Amino acid sequence: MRKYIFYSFIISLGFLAWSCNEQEVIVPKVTAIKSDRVVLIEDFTGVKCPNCPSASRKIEQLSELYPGKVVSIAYHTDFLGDPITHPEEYKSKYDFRTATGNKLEEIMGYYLGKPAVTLDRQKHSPEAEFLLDQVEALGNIETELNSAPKVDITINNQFNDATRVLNCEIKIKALEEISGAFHLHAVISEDHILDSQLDNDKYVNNYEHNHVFRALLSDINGDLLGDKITKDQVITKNYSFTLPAEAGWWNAANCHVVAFLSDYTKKPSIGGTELNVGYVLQAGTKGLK
Amino acid sequence: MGESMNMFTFVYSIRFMRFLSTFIIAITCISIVSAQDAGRISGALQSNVNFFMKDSAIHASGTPQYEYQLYSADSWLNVNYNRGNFEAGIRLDGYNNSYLFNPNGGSYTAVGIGNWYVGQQIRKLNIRGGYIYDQIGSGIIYRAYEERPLAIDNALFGVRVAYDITPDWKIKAFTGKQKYQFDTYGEIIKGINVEGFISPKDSAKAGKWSLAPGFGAVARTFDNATIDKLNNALKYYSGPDSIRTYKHNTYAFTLYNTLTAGPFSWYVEGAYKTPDVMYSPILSTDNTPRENPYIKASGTVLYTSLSYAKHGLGITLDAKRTKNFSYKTDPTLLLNRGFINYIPAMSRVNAYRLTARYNPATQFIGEMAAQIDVRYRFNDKASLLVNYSHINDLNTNPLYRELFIQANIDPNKKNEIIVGVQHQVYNQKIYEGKVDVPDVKTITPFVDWLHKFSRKQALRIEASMMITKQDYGSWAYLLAEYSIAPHWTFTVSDMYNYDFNPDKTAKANNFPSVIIFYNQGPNRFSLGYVKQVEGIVCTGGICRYEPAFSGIKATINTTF
Repeated sequence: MRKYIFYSFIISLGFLAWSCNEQEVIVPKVTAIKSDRVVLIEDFTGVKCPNCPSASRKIEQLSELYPGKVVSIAYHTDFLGDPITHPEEYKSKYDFRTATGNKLEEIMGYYLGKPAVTLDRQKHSPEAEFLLDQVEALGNIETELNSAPKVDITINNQFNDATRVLNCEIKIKALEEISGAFHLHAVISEDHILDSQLDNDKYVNNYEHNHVFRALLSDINGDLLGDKITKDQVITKNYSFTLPAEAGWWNAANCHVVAFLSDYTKKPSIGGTELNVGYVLQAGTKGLK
Repeated sequence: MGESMNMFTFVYSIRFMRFLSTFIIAITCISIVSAQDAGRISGALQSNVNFFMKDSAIHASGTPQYEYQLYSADSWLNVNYNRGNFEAGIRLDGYNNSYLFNPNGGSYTAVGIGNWYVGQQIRKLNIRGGYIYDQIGSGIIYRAYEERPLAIDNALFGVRVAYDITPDWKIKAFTGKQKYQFDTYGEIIKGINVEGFISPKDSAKAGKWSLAPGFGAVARTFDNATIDKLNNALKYYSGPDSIRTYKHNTYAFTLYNTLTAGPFSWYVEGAYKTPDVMYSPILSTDNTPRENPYIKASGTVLYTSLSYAKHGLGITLDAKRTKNFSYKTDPTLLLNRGFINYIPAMSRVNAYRLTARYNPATQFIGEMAAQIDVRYRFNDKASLLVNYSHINDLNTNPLYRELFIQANIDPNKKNEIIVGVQHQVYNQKIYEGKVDVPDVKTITPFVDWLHKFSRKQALRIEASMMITKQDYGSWAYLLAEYSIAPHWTFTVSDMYNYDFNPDKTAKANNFPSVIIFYNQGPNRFSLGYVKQVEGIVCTGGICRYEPAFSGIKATINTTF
């Protein structure tokens, strides 16, 4: 018996000695990036989702690290998204959920759990099981920001305070000749909405909800612009929308138009099935006022 | 890297398809030969089919299955072949609109070869290739197994060799990648295991005592895709959470032994894991969530099980201490995906509907647990079982308590009665990740009465009541099962939320089921209408969220 125990320890020591010589993985540092590329982060969240505020904070951290380069939209959907009804003192004022958010979630193939995020509607790892991935997927932001922008997006908003009518003009200018199946997406989001939220292990009153998806200006799959845009060509799309009456939310001063261009020839494939969303080439945002 | 990986996958797929063709031809040839030779073909089919009927009141809605797919099916068909020292097997897995892998609205459809293997015994050497299920010791450093209800099938796709050094000592080694669905994860997993058996050589003392010692080591090497994912998370960590370096390889070692002496049997195992990056979403000090959920730490597990059995008395005492022993092929994988190891559970496996409602999942990051199980058989007609489980985290915060008392009484040949009571205190915050919820405290009396009308006909009544103020509130459950041997079994049951919690549900819901089973030799069919409350399903401490169900369930099980 002794010799087998001896052999076992020799094997064990062999493993340890082997591991001592190993070169370590060095976690890279965050790098400053000079780029005109603007990325889109879509965050599927809910007021009853305890880990979702962590994701929001991570997105804010990225926005601060890469100022002006990150545009985000928070979709509140059914899973952990129904309004808080208990405890009474934390009862929700608003129901942030929208049919569009739920439909987008379905189009993007669901997720394993919330928070679920997507960066430019792209699968960043060949192993990724879902397009709506964990927050770690946002770490690919540097790769996205380092890619050269193909287009420039300019948004001009005209908002009439009296009629609450928004007229929005979005210009897409190609920086090089590009081919694909280009769709323009435009949505309205709202910042600074104060309402209850589950944050980790506690409820929070007057939690500040930012980038909340409020309405679609374009079709849910975007509006088709064409399959080829030549260098310096400018395509203009106009949208009009009447904001509902302000009732604690729909505050025009806090609303933004978010626009992004996607290419439907670059669809992510999940489990062998191609999802009907396109890779986001560029994003932009501008306040209504 | 992506291109090379795709290329690798492409080449690999071609090789695999070639192999598969050869395999199928070989099996076909062998089948023909086996008609004349001593080869044996065996197999099994399991098919679960669901037809979904939306019921928003019990949260059975809002998923593709309820909204428009309306149907799902999961099937597994195994065929195994043995001839002399040769063995081979293949399994066809089919999933149609399956919610097995993602109960949060996922729908998975795929059909393919879920498992195959070939093996040969060559004198003292045994070789096996393909998808391999195996474990070292009690599984603390390595267990590759299949648990279909939990969507776990973490077979190792690779090669294993085992050699009998002596009749009592064996060594085995393996290497490969862990399976997931019809693919494998990128990490290489390799391991070695030495096991032996020692008993007195003196024939007068033979059988008085024995030792069964073992040693194992398992290593996991990260692939580049996992390193990219980890780095993407870790590079934004700062301050005390900061992790600047980690190793490609993590090693786990275990030393274990079973001492058997007379009526006593004592198993003890100690395991160590080198520093590893792990997903640890809860702070160990006060159980509050971490903002940055990954930690780097070495891990340990100490586990022991002492049992005594003599003269109708059986006592088992288990104890375990776990610290930072989450060992996954890829630490970023969530839920039950990617487990390399398995840590034994420290609570009873309950079978009745209500006593099995709350189960403590094994805590891989920190747990201190003990369990005692005492059984005594008074005579042929009466026996008693008392079980107590006590689980804390490493800061002595209580996680789970269970006292289970059960008496079996067989007053005569026509009647069998089981009666008992269970008391639980269940930390729902930790086990289910729910926020601002109190511990669930339950008292669940139950009775199970089997009456045999004749040799062929019997009626079983199961009645239980879970009394609790927490979660959904109190439940009553009644089941009647009428059997006509050897073919038919009819069951009717209802689970009723009679004292419901208005914060969880608007009304007192019923969850009725009517199921018919038909047995024909090895074939078993069932068809039933089922309404099922959402809950956590566990096997051996590994758990999965099971969403509410409303609809028709049909199953086919057979072996050949």
